[in-house]
Amino acid sequence: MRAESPVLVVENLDFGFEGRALLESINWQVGSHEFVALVGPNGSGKSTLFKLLLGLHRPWRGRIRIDGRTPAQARDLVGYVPQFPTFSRDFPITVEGAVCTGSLGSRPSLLGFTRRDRLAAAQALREVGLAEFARRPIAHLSGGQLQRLLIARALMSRPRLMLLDEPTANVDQPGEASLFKLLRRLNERMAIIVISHDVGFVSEYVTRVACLNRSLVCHPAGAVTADDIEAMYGRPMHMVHHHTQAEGPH
Amino acid sequence: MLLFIDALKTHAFLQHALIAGLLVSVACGVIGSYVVVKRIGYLAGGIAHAVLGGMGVAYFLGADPMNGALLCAVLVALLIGVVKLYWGQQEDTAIGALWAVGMALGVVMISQTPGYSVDLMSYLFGNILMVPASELWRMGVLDLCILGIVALFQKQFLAVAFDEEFARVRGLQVPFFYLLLLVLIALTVVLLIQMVGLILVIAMLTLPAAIAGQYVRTLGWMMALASLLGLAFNAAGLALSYAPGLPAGATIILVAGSAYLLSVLIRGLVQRRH
Repeated sequence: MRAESPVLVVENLDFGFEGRALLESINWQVGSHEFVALVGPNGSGKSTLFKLLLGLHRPWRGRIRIDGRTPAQARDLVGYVPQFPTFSRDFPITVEGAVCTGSLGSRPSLLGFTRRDRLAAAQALREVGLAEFARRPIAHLSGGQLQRLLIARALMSRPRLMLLDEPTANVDQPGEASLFKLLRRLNERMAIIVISHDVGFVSEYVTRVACLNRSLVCHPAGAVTADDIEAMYGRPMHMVHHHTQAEGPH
Repeated sequence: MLLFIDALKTHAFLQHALIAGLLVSVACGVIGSYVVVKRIGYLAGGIAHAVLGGMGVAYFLGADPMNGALLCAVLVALLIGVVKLYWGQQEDTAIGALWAVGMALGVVMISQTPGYSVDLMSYLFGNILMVPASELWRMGVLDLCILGIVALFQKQFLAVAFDEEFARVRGLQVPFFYLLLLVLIALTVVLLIQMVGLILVIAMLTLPAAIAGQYVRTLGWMMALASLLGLAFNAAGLALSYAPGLPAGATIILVAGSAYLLSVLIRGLVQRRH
């Protein structure tokens, strides 16, 4: 881990639903160039923690600061990529149009998307390797391409922290490696937190692994053992090492 | 057809009907596209039918039934919207209840109006041939309001229609824009009632947009094509109904329905070939 100022600071965070605690005493700092995997069993609160960071839920106790600001004030500093597209694939919109919606909310604006928005969208699409798809309808994209579109949309607000919720859930293995190479490139200018169930695969790329199950424990990427995973999931688990091309030239 | 064209040159009521069709088609194409892509046809149907309650009350009180329709449509739209936003699970029940209660209230109020003589059928199935010049002005103003608001907030409406969750993440006031969209749907419903009546509103609101959606790549083009199709269906329905003396509103809907069926069949055949 590099010595650097944290872009994300979470202090003594408690949160739950209908009086039942889901997250307890979460203390967490993420450096501005860190690449962190957030792992944990189903229902452990990973997506809920993301929603807290995005300002969609308010903590019961504790505080969240992103670059010194509250989540509501820091919306432009956070990019979000959901696990599944939360839109209909047959919606009449081009790839460029869908990416442009990422510029919304940054500043109050009326009428249509501006030339500046379209230039930013073109840049984001180039960055994720979808430049030639700009004018195509989103219905023509494959699962992996759609995931890249979601990343391009998240890049529109020039985030300093990118949150990705299981970005490879619908992507095949070569696509998975390629997507993580892209994330590693983006990591040069922003912190990245990625939710994953595949500790073996993501540990090839990330600098730290944050294990969440009600409370949060962080480990350096290479130091997560089967015992750590077993303690977190509460049942016997096997660590599987993937032989990917992650170590190859990028 | 020639008979219709000749009559169009001489009869003001036909010219009014055609202008009304044009005004309605634009609003229908724009707002209908949102209804189709957001899949809220049932919600729009609920607003349309509940409007009879407002018309009945206005008629009972001696006021203009169209003013009652306007007020009632907006109120019902906001009520359904609030239920959807804050009690999501109960949306269908709320729509169904407002749909039936609104119609029942309308029928009761009309039946209790002293000197009962209102033609209930014209509210239910419209009468585009009876649109007075004063009504065209009201339609024009409503049209301008709808188009102006959509033009102003087109990005926000696109975001809410396309991906509500992401719009929330970006800090957009989703409840406000969702309710505003429902109010625009309510205004369009009132525009359409005069033409095709409240029972057939849902067809004109969805069919042109549904056909357009099969051939275009963006919401803007969908709106433009749906508006043109709406205009063509209105003109064709009027022309076809004129000589045999068929009800114009119902004929317009039959034309739109046939075009939709034909379009679905053609698309199916084209896709099978590929």
